[in-house]
Amino acid sequence: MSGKGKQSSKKAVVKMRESGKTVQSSALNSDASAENTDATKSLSILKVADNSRLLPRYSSILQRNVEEGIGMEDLDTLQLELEMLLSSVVVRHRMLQEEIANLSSVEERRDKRSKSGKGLSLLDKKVREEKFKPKELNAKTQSPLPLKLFKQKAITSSNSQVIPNVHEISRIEGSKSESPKLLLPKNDTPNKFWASVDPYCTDIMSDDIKLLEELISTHSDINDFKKVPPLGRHYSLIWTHNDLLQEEDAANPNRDKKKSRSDMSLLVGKNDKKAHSIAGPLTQRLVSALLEENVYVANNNTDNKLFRDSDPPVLRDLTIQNSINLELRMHKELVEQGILEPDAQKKSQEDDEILTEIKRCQQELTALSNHNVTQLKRLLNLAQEESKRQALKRKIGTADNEVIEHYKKLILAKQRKIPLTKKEQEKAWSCLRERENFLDQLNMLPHNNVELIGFGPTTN
Amino acid sequence: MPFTADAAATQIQERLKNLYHLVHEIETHRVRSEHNLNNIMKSYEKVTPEDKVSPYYQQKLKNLNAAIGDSQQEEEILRKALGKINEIRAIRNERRIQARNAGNKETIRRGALMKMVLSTAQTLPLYVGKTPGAKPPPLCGAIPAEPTYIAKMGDMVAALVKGSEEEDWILAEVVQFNPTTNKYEVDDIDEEQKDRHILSRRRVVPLPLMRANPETDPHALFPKGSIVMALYPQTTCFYKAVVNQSPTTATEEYEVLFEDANYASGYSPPLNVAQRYVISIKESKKNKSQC
Repeated sequence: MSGKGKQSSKKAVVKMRESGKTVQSSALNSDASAENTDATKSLSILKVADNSRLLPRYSSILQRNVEEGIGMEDLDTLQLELEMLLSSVVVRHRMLQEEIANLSSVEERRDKRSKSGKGLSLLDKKVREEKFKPKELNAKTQSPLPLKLFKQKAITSSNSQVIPNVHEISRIEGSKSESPKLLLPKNDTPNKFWASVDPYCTDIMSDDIKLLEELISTHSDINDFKKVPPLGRHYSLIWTHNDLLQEEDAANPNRDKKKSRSDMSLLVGKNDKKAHSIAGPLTQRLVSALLEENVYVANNNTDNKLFRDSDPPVLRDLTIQNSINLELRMHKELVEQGILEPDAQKKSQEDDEILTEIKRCQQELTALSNHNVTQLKRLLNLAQEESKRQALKRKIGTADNEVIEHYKKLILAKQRKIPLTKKEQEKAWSCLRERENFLDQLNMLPHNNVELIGFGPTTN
Repeated sequence: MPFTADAAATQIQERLKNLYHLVHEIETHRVRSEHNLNNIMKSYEKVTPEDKVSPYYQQKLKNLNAAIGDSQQEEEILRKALGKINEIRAIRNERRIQARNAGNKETIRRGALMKMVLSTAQTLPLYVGKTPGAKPPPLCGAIPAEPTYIAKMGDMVAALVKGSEEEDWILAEVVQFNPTTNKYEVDDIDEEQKDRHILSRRRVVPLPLMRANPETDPHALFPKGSIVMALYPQTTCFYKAVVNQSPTTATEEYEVLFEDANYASGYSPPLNVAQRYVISIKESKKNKSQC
């Protein structure tokens, strides 16, 4: 067993050197050999018989000049020391990499969290911090007791002559070998789980109720979606025109303006010509005779430039695309002239296929929205009741505490054999009564609420 | 290529000089890494975790990357220095084998022999994996040799030889391997025996050529509870044993319990055996627990 003892003391020394070199700071930067002499000092203080073999040969070689160099006798020790260094470097390297990975994952998670924002529990935050901190320190001091060690090291490096300190360090180092195994496989899955469950179990706050109310008010108003847009050239013309304008903008706005403009007019001009061929000069004359020149120009036909200026505005509507528009205007005109009944056309509008589809969708929407609103209202009711219940429970909690206080007083009084004053007794009784009152109130509230709240969101 | 004593000496001198410079280089690298590590620590101390994380994060990442670069350089140069030491050892070993073949056999007393057995185990090169997942090479720690592996001349092996009444696994050195008969010629390491054995391949187990580093490559070690063959301290024989504790540092040894009928429990008290002398057990019908 003596061999074993030797080993562990060796280990302690080795470890001390390693961590010592990572922690000692300012002296090292300015003067490299200072650190080594420090190490030698603290080693010689330990005075374990076997230590001479582990004396940092490395440092003594550093202080030799080139002629002295390295001898064969240095080799074994130097090898071990270099291996030690290599091992520690590789360990450090891995820790640093782990640290980087950690950092980025923490950062990612932080981003996510801050977006999802509200409803994060304290617990979760704590977990994150805990995860963040120890590894951080690990990477630097390569030990799970970083702060403690750091302090210890600071002391020894300043006065390395003090023997007890050195021993203390070796003790800490010794205990260190067990602790990382216990600490490292940290499993935060349960914490994550509870953090995810937490929002479902917390008390219902006034904010939550407010949110529900807002939701109800916004959802019950769906009139916007019930409007049926009037017939017209929504897509056939406006969109193509917009597209063309966009393209025009996208292309060089100064140079190509004319060209694209002409393209556009070419595109629409075709229709124009066609229109002329369909509605011959006679028709045109008839139409212009029927409609006055200054008649209302349909909203969606603002692109005047596309047509020849000499054309009277009405004639622009004599294209195929404009037939509906023309129809509308003719109808309007005829109604004004008293030739047609105003409602005649509206009926014909309604057997439109698209219109029925729109109506169907609207019906569905209304049904869905109604359902949602009722569910939300139910949820709101439940939430309100639950918040009442919670308020009661809180009151009961305080009442409980009061009762317990009085009970303690009573016990104390009994122990001292001093009878309670009447006032105190009355107080105690009133507390008890109050508590019973609260409990009754709680019982009065409907009981199935709890289950309903639990399943409310899922049934929705 | 045969060395004269002089040639070997000059070669070794050259490498020693090389090594000297490398050691100095290592030091400069260490100072630099030190600096960066300190920076990391300082920046950590300055910032409390929750506020202003992003700039802190940037800074930290930068520092970490710098530190990683440092450690890579440092690692490289350390490996180089250790490589030099290995070269020196190889040259010396070569010289030794040549001297032995030439017939001037140095006789070693038993105490000195035991010391040599220990020190060669301690100075066996250390394998340090470059990445956490790196697969250690064969004959590193507990990793056995490949089935086709032939131990080289001068390599240490465990050899199953017939003793006076029973078979023993002894510590031996390979003299040569005869590929036609598929047999090894091995020398008992214990000079007093003065025996040369000719053994078939399955009676010879090469010893590890590298130590595994518990801090970086624990998977290349026998875990606690493994049944192994280990060199009984102060002897040159291997016996069946149970690993009681694996080493936790590169310099530490295995702690094993030898199967030993002399003790009431059937096992010896825990004894330390170097990594080099702990090997996986061969089919064990003939292992006996007597020395």
